[in-house]
Amino acid sequence: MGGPLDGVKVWDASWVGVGPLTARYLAEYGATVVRTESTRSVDVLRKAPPFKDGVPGLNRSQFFADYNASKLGLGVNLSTDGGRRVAARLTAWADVVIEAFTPGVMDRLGLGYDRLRAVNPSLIMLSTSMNGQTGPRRGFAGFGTVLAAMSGFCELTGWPDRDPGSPYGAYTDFIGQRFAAVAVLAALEHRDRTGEGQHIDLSQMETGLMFLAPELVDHQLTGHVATRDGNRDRAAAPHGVFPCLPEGGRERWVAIAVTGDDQWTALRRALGEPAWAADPRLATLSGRKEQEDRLERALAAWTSARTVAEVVGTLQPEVPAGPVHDARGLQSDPQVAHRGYFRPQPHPVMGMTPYEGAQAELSLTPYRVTKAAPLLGEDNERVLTELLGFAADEVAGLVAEGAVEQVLD
Amino acid sequence: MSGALAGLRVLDLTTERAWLSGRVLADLGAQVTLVEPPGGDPARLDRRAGAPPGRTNPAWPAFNRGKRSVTLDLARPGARELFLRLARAADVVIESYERETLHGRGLGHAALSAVNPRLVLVSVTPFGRTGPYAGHAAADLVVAATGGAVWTNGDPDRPPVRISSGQYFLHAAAEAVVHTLVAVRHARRTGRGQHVDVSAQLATIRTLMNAVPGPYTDGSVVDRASFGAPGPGQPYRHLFGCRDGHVLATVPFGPGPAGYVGWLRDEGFLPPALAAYDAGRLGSPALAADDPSFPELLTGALAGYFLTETKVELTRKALARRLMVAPVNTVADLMADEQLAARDYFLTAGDLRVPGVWARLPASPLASAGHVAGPGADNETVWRDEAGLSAEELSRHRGEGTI
Repeated sequence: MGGPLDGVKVWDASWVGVGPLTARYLAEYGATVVRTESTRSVDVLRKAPPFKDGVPGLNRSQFFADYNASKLGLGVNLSTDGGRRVAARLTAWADVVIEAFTPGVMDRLGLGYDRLRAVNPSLIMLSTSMNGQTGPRRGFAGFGTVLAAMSGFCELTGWPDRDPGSPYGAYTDFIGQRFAAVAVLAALEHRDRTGEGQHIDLSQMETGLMFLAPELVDHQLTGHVATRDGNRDRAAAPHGVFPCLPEGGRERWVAIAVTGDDQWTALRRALGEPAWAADPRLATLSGRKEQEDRLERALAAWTSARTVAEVVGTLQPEVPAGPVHDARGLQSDPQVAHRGYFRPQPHPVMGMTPYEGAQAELSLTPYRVTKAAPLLGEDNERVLTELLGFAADEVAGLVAEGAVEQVLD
Repeated sequence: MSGALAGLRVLDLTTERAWLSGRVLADLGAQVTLVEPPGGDPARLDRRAGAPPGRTNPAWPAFNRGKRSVTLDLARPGARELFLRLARAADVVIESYERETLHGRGLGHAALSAVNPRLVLVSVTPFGRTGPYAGHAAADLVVAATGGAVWTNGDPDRPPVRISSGQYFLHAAAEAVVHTLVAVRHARRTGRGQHVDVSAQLATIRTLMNAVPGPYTDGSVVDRASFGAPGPGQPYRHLFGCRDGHVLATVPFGPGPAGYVGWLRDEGFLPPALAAYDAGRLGSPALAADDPSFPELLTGALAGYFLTETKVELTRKALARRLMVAPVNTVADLMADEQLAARDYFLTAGDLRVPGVWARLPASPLASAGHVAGPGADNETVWRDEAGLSAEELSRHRGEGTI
């Protein structure tokens, strides 16, 4: 191990997306993270595809595994008496607790912040939820897919002549996890300085809106209500996704974004000064916006006769252009490979499997994927004895009374 | 109470792509100072087609509130020495130049750490500072495409689409703060700063959830599919029109079909064909599989009812029934949202309301001050009091156009 968060102890009592991803950041900079789970309410991601070789199983989902790499796994049913004893030890042990239940659930489990703080006065607890711990919609429960709609992203995805679309999946989760990790790290700074813990209330909707701040301010300045516009942009033209020659029986697309007049000049030059681009009115953004339909048709005609690689090779490095990658394209992208984003780790059930890695490189203290995700309860013995200090006979008792759980296949 | 990062000093050299990073650090109590060209960053102004001259770029107040501003023309001789004066007293420098501008001016990480070994330099760029695409030109759409976030979106009969508002540099800018805080912690403990090199392309891949691992687990690749309609594994449509727009309703959640049937009954919209289903049938997990006509029967009735209600009313009524219905909100809806209002979410930037309180840290609350500094508003304080220039020196640099 070894990292800037060495010695930080995290109880990850969360599930699904934001909470586990937040804890994963901490794990990969050196924190010891114990992820608790129960077979009574299995993390929905363990039951969600893609599964290794397409075969479902609690320990076969890479959707789950990726979000829980580098953590220790403890299977415990927190609603049993034994589970409550384990929870008390975890609370005393941890610097940080992360939970992601619908507001009120932790209180009902007897694990609300006030109860935990009575055990550990300087505890930091992160509660991440859809709409926050207070307010009329505090009880709003659900998945991130609907939060993309509530947070404005569905209105902004798709075509102006059609119903709203959506970014793929639980889009706002991947805004929330970044702010959640920032909040926890900031709270650790505060605690290092003052000794004081705190209960962080994070609403995923409130983090999501940070990414629409320009549109929300624009509405106040100009009255404009932003909506979906295909791939067009009010500050750039041409700006779109264009068809290329199919490859391997699959359609291929290229993204081209002319974000300044100099890039328009560079585009014309790269294309060999075609007649369709000669109109001097095209030298300005407003001129290009007026003729955008025509420009898009002409550009599509040019790209359609070429491969993605030919188009990008012709336009870069002067004109912003790049392949529209599918999941296989991400695996073969030379830049992604150069950055070492996919990092294989051996998993007891799934075998050697790549894990998504660092989005940032730190020159002295790099982000480390230290192990594959735990099987459900894989590290029970080690966590209960070495970390939490239970004696061997106490562990046997916890197992016998069904408080501790394990699924190893 | 003060912010969690009180005392942290940040120099913000970013372009619009990463203004958010400094905004988040300032929210947490850091002292963040924009370093702009004399006369101000041209990106303070709205450069979209049709914008009248002089109008503010809406992203400026949103992401630069709470920062100080000094001016410095980094291209002028002598500017390097002046910048190093600032860097000596800083903890963090953030930049997002498209090319290797800082390095080219002799202000790369090695040069900065020579004057201040604990300094953390943060770069937020499309592809990162190393690798075959490091010199490529990019834009939000290109980052979205190369990070896989375009392929999965849109209707099959048209090209795939991005989100119609720049997103992926914001992912990188928010991501940068996570790693910056890690590096700051390391520097505080060891006295050694480092270079934090963020890739927007990789931050984009991180948003793709279970669409990423397909090729190395079950061989699957996620392609775009029309949104809201029923599909494989998803028997119920979930996008519906309503009186003032659209809502999303996820039928298989919480009380499920029985909850929706009860709702339709209470509102007087239950068709006889649905009334014939008893609680046992409605509660069966195999309902849609055993009775393939049921999903269309239920969602057809819901579609009729939803058209009579607003987004806000449908969301409220569904919440009371523990059903998952969400409004497809516009920015206008969001500014009026009752939950955000109840939580006093919006902050001020001058006379504008901007998002917002992105996390509640009761022991170290986010800064509420919403000042938007003019270009060079803090020149006197910073250059004279902090960097130690004499009045004569400051005057000379101003006269030469460096400050």
